[in-house]
Amino acid sequence: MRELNYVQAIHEAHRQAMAADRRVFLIGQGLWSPWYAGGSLENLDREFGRNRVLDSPVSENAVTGMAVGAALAGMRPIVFHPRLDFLLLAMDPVINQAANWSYLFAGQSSVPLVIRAVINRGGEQGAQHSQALHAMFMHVPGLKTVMPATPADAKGLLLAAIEDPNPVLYIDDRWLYSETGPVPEEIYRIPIGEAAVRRVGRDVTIVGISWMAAQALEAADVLATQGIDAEVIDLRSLKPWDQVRVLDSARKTGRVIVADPGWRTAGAAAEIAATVAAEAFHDLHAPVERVTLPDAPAPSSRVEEQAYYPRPSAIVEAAWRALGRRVGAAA
Amino acid sequence: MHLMAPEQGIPGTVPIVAGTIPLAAGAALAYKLRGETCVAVAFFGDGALEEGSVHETLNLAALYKLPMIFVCENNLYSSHLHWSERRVADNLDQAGAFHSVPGARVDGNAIEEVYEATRQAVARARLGAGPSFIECRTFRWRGHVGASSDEDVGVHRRGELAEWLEYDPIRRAAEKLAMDLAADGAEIDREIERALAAARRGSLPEAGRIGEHVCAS
Repeated sequence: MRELNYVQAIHEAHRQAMAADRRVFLIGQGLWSPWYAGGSLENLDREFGRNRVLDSPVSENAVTGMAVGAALAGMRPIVFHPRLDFLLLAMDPVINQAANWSYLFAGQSSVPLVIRAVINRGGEQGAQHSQALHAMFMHVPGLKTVMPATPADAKGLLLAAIEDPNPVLYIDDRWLYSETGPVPEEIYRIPIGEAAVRRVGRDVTIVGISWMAAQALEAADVLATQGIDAEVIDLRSLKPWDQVRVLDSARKTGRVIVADPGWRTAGAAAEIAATVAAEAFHDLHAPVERVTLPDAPAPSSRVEEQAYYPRPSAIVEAAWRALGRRVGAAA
Repeated sequence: MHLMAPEQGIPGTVPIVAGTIPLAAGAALAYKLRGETCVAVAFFGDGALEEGSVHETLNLAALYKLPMIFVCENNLYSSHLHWSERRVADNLDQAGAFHSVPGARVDGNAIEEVYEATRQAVARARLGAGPSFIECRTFRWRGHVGASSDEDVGVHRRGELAEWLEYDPIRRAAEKLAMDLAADGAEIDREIERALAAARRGSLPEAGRIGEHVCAS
């Protein structure tokens, strides 16, 4: 199959959705910029016209609210936030309005909206331009949240999000943009709420989210050289998340590590760990391990960044702990 | 609150102050993208002007030349706070000026003034000239919450209520329209009584439906 990188896959999903459905349009910051969206929206304004690809002033609240209103009026908007951090300025339209709308009106009306936000970490950008805030949104009923980790999922989950009758927060990570992989040429959907088993193993389960799913595969390769057979699950969707696949794997291996690109306290990993502990307690051989960011804002120094962002070695060490091996000991 | 009547062009009413103003701009954008002649109208109170999103929306609506009308029902109070306790100038009709959105101040209890300002704003929107802002001066007879006047809970405002009760927009409209309010009003009262009786006869929803409609399917 043809290979694309992650950013090309996002671009293709936009192009195909806009060509197939007149209701789909784009609004947000940086849409006419050659670099703002990392190439993921390049030239869409030229292809579809600037009426349908609206670059916006920095008015996150009203721009997101407009997207909600356009969705209620029969459109299929994609509202773009080049940093997930900026979405904090739009919490009212996302949570009070979009997420609650179906429930408020007993399902007579809903908000078919894609909110796309980018995690753009590293490069000494610091605390206000690096945040992985997915857990805050995962908390909210009525809002779906997806975080693809592969090019094929980047395309298929975006197309599924556009067709979903509910608000879907689609979070992509710039660190994944150069990942390559097979991507079908046609329009297809990856079901929201379905995880993918990336590697079958019997000793330990690693549940990875977004960038950390890619790190989990690297960790599994290292573990294989040490005689440890890891199963890697790419969660893909955070809300709803695939409890069946995760719990099946947990019961099989008895050891679970959750690798989450967000903070530790009340994070996505905490939710998954709690569910595994509650539902698969009698099959567990060790406490559930979490690999997360420390509870600290992103540093602005590259030296501190090296320590701040967990690497595959952190997942490998968590696996050792789960297997009762001394950290640092040779396999 | 939480009322909707899509067949009447009302997609929903919700309680967050100013929350629906950007939503109305989004509806206006949808009409514009589809080439329709519809005009979106956002209704809000004077308190909404103290939220940031309304100012963002005024700029966006002007920038994208949206077919939209901002209707501010200025009843002088936000909950228990008089406008002078929240602002230094009585100038809400100028809220759009900085964003090149023309504003009008009308007597909100005078149906002919509201009609004329609205007619002009609709014409402007349909010409593709962009949004308009209308401040309708009025007064809230009832309290901030519920059916009483708030006098019962110790909020006395400034004693204007008696004066405003005399300045009844419905009675004045009836006079202008040469309606016989006694006869027509009695029929309207009967209709309200019937609706009230039907609501009182209705049963409460069964428990055990938590989780329904959280997501649309």
